[in-house]
Amino acid sequence: MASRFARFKRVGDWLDERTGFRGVMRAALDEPVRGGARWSYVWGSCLVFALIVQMVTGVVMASSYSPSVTTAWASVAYMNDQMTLGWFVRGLHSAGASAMVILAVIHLLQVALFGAYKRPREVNWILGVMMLGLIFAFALTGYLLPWDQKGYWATQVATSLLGATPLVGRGILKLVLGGESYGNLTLTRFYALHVFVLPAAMVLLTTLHIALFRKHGVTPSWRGSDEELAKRTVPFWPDQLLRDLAAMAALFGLMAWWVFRSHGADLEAPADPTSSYDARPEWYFLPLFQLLKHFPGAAEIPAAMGAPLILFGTLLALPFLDRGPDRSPSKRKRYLAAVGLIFAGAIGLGLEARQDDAHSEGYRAQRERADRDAARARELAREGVLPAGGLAVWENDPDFKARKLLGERCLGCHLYQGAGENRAPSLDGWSSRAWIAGMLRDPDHPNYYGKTKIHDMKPVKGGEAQVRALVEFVFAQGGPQGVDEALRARGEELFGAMDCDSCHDSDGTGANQGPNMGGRASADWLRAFLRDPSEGRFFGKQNAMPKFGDRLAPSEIDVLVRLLVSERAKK
Amino acid sequence: MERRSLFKVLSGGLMAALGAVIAAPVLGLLSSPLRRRVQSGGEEPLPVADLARLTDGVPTRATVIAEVVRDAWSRFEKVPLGAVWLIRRGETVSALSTTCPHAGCFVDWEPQKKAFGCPCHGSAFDLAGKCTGGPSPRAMDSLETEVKDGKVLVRFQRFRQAKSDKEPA
Repeated sequence: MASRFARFKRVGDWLDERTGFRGVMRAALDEPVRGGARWSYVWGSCLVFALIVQMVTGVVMASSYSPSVTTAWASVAYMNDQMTLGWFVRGLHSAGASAMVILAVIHLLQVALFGAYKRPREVNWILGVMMLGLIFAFALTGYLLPWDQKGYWATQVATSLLGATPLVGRGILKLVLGGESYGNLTLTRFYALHVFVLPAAMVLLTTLHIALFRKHGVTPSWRGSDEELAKRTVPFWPDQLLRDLAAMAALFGLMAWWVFRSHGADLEAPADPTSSYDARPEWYFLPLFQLLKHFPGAAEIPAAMGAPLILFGTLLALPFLDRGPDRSPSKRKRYLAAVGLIFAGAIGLGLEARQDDAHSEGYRAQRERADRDAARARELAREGVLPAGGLAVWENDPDFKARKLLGERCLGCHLYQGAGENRAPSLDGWSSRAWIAGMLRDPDHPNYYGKTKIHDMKPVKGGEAQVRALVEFVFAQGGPQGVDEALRARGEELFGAMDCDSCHDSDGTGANQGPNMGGRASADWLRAFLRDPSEGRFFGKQNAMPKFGDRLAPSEIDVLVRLLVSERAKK
Repeated sequence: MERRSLFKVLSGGLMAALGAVIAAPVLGLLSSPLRRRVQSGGEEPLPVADLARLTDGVPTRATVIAEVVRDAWSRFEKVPLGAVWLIRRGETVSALSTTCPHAGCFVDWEPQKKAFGCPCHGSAFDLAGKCTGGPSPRAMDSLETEVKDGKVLVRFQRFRQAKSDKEPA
């Protein structure tokens, strides 16, 4: 044991002689903390920690993200829903962004309260305010990258405002978007900003910020004389460092808890420029969003530009306005009130925005629809997204496939939802009660067999009640759900009494002059019918419809069967 | 334990724990491809030609097209996987990969020599794919085929190059 320790030490000595790392470590750890270690000093360290979490999770996500309008959404959906712990890493990155905003504001308010921006620390305060701006720039550029509904529409709001800047707006907008509207270059530009430019700026400013902090030391409480503070001074290691680490652990625990609770960050349906989507920005932009509601029309642009200018202008000017040597808050009420007012205003606006949405029926309905679409799109994405990307995920939907197949294979003869040719019975509400009733009353109507070769059936002449009973009997062949049994039984009697059974069998197998009614319009019946409608129990020799058993794969027939079954269920 | 060494242990422990809880999900995500199939498609025999179109004893080039290929988040339809040489013998057909086992160039059929030849480094193969000259370490790679309802089906595969044994890539 001892010898191993000695070996470690020898390696350390060797390295120290060549690098001087022990001196650097000592300088880092022995920094004096004036007035002693305090829990209130942990915020800066927590910000550094959150930044590290963002960088690590960001780099890993970049290894499975593809920035283009055709691949962005699909690659994020794949990372989030199919790669191991992808949802957790992405969730951490999103929670980390929120944490950075909260921590930065706490850190800033504390510095303001302690008067720590005063001489000689003005430059460091300015660096800090600049970093707050960078955090918002990160949030804005990162939000668009998944190319989902939320990111797409929320970012539209921001870029439209940018484009409305007087004089230079159009030029700046085109530069930022890489074109006239959102496209591939918008994503690659936002991506480059988010993963290269902003991180480089952030690392640079953080380094300067910490260097200046080390130069000037912590700003202790305004209470206590210099002698008292000097007496309580301790080195950074271990008292302060342990507090910092404990706070970081608590922060991470909170973030992880949040991610577990929310199952990671939202990913909505792929961006759809044609959809109506009522976008909301992330919570930290809600105050600005709400502010715009209070400045409609021509006042909107000045408000949107003015509010951030006032916020950052006030913060940057603070050390030059509040120049007295006294750091006690009771002597600086004016300045603290200004800062407090700005943040209280922001919080108030944010809460108001939440309230508005909570009371809006329309917004709630919109949210529910968006959540449903998101869940469906992500489920469909598990089958892989076609090269057209993003929105092409909907092509995985069986309904979409069915419509496409129907268009290609059926609408050359059948009508459906306003499309197709009228050479065969309409497929709108095919074999629903209304369809059957209309067919019984007038089989030679163009919606039924009027345009076909089949004209052997005579219209059913009977009272309303009789037709309703017959309809129920025929409808019930497709499946027992929702069938009125008494009515069906009455229909069955009438089927014999009115001589329908002289042309139509109803055992499901026999061939007669007209189609066999047994099991008609059930899924099994449909499958067999589509495969070969010229079977004796269907249209036999009178059939003019192609046998799709030769032309479609069984899975394709199933897709059509599902669509027709759902038509039957229509009112 | 002294206060200072207790703090040392606590700090070290906290740092290690924080490192671990960040590293775990990150490594999980990075190593995800080890645990799942990221690409798939073309493992099944695919129809490449009609038997009737093949002349006995004359190699015919055919393209192997997979109906569906999955690649991470994408699904591609009708993807050309590669080409094969089909050689008909009566009612059976054999298939040779067009990829040279030496360095991966495209092996061509030279009708006047009635032999296969690789344009890159001059490897030569006979009609059965056996190497008759040049640097190729093994015969041309044969692929599994079957004839079903007049269609020739090939199970397309790639093999490692520059090895004397035929190993799937």
